[in-house]
Amino acid sequence: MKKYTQIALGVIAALGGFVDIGELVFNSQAGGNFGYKTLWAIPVGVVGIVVYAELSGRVAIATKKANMDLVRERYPHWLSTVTLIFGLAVCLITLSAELGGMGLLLHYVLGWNEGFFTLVGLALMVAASLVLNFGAIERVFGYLGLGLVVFVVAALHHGPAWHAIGTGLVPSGGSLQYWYYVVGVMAAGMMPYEIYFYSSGGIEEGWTDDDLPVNRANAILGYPLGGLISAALTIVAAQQLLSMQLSPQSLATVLQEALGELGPVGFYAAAIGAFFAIGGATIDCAFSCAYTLAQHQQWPWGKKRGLREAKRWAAALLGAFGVAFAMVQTRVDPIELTEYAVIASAVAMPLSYFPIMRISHNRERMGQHASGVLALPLAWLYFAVICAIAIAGPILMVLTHMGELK
Amino acid sequence: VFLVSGCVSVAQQDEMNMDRLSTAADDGSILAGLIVNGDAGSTFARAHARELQEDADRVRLSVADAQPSGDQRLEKLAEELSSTLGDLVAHPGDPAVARRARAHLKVLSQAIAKTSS
Repeated sequence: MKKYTQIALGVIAALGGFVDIGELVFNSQAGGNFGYKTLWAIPVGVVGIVVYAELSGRVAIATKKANMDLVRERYPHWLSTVTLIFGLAVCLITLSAELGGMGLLLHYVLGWNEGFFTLVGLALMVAASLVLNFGAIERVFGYLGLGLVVFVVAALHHGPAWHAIGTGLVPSGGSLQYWYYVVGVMAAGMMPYEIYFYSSGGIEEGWTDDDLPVNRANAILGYPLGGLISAALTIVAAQQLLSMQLSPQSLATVLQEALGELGPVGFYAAAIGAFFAIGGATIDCAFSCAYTLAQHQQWPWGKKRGLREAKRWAAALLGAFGVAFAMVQTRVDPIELTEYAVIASAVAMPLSYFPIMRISHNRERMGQHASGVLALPLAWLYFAVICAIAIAGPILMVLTHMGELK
Repeated sequence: VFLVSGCVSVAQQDEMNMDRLSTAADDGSILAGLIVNGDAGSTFARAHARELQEDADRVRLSVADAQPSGDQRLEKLAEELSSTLGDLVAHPGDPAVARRARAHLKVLSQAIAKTSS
């Protein structure tokens, strides 16, 4: 019974915690620009994160190694350093985008200056990272992030165009701008920090063979349910903005969609959901920065070791928050930063995911938990997808000037 | 790659400026509609209208600073748009102001569409 409860709680937390600022921005922009046509990219991204989250959890259980430990072990020093630099850069850019997003959300609801609220968001996230244990972080941010389910309600309330939605689930061709958003939606679903955090979290929580079903259920049920929210974001944007070809350039426009459909209740549910979903991602990103650096440098790491035993890891955690805050203070637009983060993630993905995939079917290291006839081909297939995204992302970014040119 | 993604031709810059203005006008008109209906709170309305006004101001500055000189019609539209959104910033809870702003923003949106075609 305890196991089922654990699975249910994990799934709910994954559902609420799947969406971050990248999902909010890219899915809404895709819906406003192209209606339902990019919907098919969401399941592609979701299956990708399911495959690699399940693999990384299983590898962590079998080998007791986190993602960057494997990178260090399996790559030559220069390549593991390159992977570390890319991974850290992506996590830091994402972290600053998330922090900026939190500041904006508080500014929309409470007024006052967004810079001040970014500082408030930073203080809250640092406190939550240091004070709350993993279970509490997962529950608080995952459950309250469920406020974003309001977009599913808004989509249903408006009356979904089921036929158009069905058509959107089938890949179609389009302009370079269309492909930029397709790549963005896929990459936003498979951000590397999610895997860094997932595998390191598994080690921190001391997962054993008994936790394999929990790992599998969290990945296979939680992420697809989170994908539903992403799809709802696209659908609501299509319902309300497509007729004007309006591509949201602000988180306020995304909240405004819920306000327009469901009134103030919808607005506040969306604002709370977005705040906690982005807050959860902020903590994940900050931890990921500290994990990757500490694992690569072979420092003692982990929240459970405490600040005294893992001093350099703790310093890296606080340093990541500090650097990200400094980046936001340059007045860079968090939405633009998000787009950079998502496309930079696309480039970092192959380097980060390759070692997990390679080791997952190594019977010597994995024993009975090695990938079988389904997981292995899926992992290779998705590695090909990730490589394609890594090449196409930056090219499309240049050609479309970050999706602005048709 | 990030640096290169910032390089565009004059025609492309005009296209992007036009899109940004159109987005700000349409978004502002939705916001004004929500204020008229009494759905949008003053805090949110002011914050969002200010963001949109800043977008319009950025386009106006970009056109004004362009070398060779940018499209004067675009600069004028950006100025009008900024001023109309400024009314929403100054009176975020006033339905009468929002009604007038919504009508004006719709006219501006059509004018922007005409200019871009």
